[in-house]
Amino acid sequence: MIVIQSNIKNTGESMPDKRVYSLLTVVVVLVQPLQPSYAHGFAGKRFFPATLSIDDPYVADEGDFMVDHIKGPDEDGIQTGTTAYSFEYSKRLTSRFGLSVGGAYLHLNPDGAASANGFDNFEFGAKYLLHVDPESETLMSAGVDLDAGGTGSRHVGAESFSQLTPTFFFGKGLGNLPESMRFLRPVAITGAVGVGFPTRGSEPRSVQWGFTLQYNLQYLQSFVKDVGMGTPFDRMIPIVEIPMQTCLDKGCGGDTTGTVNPGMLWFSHWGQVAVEAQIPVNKRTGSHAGFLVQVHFYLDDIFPQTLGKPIMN
Amino acid sequence: MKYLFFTLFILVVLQPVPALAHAFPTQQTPGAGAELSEPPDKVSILFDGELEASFLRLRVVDESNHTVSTGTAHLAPKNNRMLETGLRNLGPGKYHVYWSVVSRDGHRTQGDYSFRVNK
Repeated sequence: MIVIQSNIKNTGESMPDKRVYSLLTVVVVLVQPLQPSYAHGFAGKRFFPATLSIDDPYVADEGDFMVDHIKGPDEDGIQTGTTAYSFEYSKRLTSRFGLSVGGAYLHLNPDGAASANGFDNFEFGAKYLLHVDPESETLMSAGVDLDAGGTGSRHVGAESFSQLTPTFFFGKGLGNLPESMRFLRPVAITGAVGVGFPTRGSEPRSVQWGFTLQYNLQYLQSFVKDVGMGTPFDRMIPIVEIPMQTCLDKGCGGDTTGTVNPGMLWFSHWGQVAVEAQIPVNKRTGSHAGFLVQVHFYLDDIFPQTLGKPIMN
Repeated sequence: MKYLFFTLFILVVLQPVPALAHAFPTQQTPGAGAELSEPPDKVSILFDGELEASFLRLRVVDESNHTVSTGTAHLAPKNNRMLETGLRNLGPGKYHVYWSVVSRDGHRTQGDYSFRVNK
């Protein structure tokens, strides 16, 4: 997908031609032979969707595009509207180990100053699926993310130093609650906690933490109580994500920023579409609500024998 | 950039979705949590994708965990999305359905639910 974008920029073709190129390229990529492959995001009958702000507790072949807009104070305290057009691509090397790369093109619009555009630093990740228990609907993974300093534009504040963040991920479905609490069985909680270590000694360390609360309507309809929901409601998952960051030292110890993101996911065979609001938890984070929109592709479902298959079994 | 996002979104969302990937149930008879006044003679589950006939499992048990389904799980005639099994003559009580299937492209899904027969 990045190649498509580059071609469009470099050729200077008219907009109809650009759209035709995009259409043709995507059609060629999507129309592939389909053969057996492995599952993603499942623990028993529980399906864990990909979440927007908190990374998933499993490894998968997947890709997504997301638009993220929020207004809040920048490092100098100036209220700045930030719109990010981001992508992430994840590839399994084995059924339990995967790598990822992500990037974001930023548009910054500070109050009383000129706007700025450019790429943020690129991110690289590795993750290992530690544990899957179908009976208790539990997933656990461990990984590390590298925010690669100097790979982005200083115009948009991309740091010149890197940051390594080892992270623990978990997911837990409540499917084994007793009968008296059966309408809570569609609930699942996922979360992540990691510590960010900057490569520059003068920069603070921070805890990146957060969790999601999900209510899977497909789970309700199929496994708990058929309430007569039809398409598209039987594939919807109301969700709240709470991504947070707490500074640990260098004069900002204990300062916490984050948002509460209520929204809705809808999933299908090929992937999912999601929309969330972003509500700052405090004035340090911002005083304006924002939004997130994501289109996510299950590459292991779309291309089970080629692009979506682990390199090694 | 915005045209690329728009094109991708429209292409993927609006394309006819073939019966690929994980098979999810779209209709179950009896349904999850159903309260029946008459005992059913079979359990059937319709999926949103085609199923591999070699990897079908569908078992129904009573409250004592005794199997009350008869024969083997099978695809409905002329419908390779429909999983079925017959049932013994069920008395009043609660019954639990366990199923697992493999879709035509090899993805496995599973599930279970209960229903009740009242008299």
